[in-house]
Amino acid sequence: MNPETLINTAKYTPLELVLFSVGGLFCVVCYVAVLRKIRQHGVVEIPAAAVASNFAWEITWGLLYRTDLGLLFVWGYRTWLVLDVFIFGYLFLIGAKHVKNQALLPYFRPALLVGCGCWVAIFYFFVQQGYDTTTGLTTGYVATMIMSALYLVMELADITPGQYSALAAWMRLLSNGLVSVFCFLVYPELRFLLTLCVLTFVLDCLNLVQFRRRLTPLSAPAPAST
Amino acid sequence: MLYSWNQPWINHAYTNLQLTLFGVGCVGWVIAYYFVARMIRRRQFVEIPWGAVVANIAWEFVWGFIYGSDMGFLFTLGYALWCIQDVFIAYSLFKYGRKQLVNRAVATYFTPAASCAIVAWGVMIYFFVEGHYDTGYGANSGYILNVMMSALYIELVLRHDIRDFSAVVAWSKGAGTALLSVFNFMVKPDMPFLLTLCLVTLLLDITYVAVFYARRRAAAAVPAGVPA
Repeated sequence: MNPETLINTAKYTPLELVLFSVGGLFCVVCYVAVLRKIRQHGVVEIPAAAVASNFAWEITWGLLYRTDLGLLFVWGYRTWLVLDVFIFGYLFLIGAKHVKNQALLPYFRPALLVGCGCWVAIFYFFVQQGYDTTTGLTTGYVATMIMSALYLVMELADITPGQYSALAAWMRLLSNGLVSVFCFLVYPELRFLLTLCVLTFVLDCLNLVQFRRRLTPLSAPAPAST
Repeated sequence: MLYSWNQPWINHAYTNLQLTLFGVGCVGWVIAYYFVARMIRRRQFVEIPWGAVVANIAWEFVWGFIYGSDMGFLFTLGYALWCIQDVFIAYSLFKYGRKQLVNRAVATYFTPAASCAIVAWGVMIYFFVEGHYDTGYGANSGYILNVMMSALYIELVLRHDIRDFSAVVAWSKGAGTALLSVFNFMVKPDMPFLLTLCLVTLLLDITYVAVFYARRRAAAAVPAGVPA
């Protein structure tokens, strides 16, 4: 019989579990918002390299390793994985519209698959060597910070702002923020992880500022014709 | 380990073969940096992707001046010399780095973004080492940066004028890293994370050399006066 409990209240306090759960739920909402934008515009807003590393993290922690937060969270990680299957699948099938470099396009699909495979191997062995936390958050924040940094680079590029979801941007900020608070409570001694949390938060805030700045001209009233 | 003046010049816990491999690998990088600098002077272009330059100089500062290599003081000095060599590249990045940007409209943010990125990388690498994620000579953090640099190099060479890139750099950085990887396989056979990074870097470096020559051939095939 599997002795794993539904929720590990022996190791984590109720506050910590609530923070992680709400952060995780916001992440689900973020994924759903991204999928809705895919249906509306046929565009995957998450940068392709970030989709690959994120999906690899979910494969690593959803299938190859298990979080010690409890069975409920094990399935929570798998829910992220299932949602990300659709995002990864769409990206693979329709390609990344934001890849402006025509020379890259013929290599896009193999690069996406090989890139994801490499990330799985990197994350798998990072965890195997005992570098990660038992919740997978060190590798998780590596993937998250890559995503936040690439989002900012893409926001600064000439992407149509209407194809981005404001809800996804807010949910990403809140989800990462809440899980970061969890990290500060549970792992106060892991300063590398906490640095990643702080940098991710800064990048997410900059993303939101940049997103709103780019969206403003779209919603501004057109000047009266003379 | 923290920087120490009392460290022996060479740590003979490593065999002569291992020390030679590491030393020659490092020389490969010195050659690469020299030719990058030459290209900067000739064409006013920094061929190392800007995301890699900012991470690299931070790594060299942390490992050359804050922590020291457990391979001996000579190697710590080598890291510090890399850092000094990289100061010129980083300075040139602030001067010419905007040429790497796809969207020139964001050039305004380039200097603050690159400055913040150097500091952010410095802090991350410092705590990465402090948290015991690294080896005694900085291989884990160094190879994380290597993977990133090798991947970004491919992306940059695919969209930029091939004349701004040096064949010597392509070969010397690839060969230098390959020798360091052989060293890692000998010294750290029990660290699959590091060895995976070595293999991924090798794969990317081979891809880069192939793409580099394919782009050169394509550019040579275009008649003069026709835009590539």
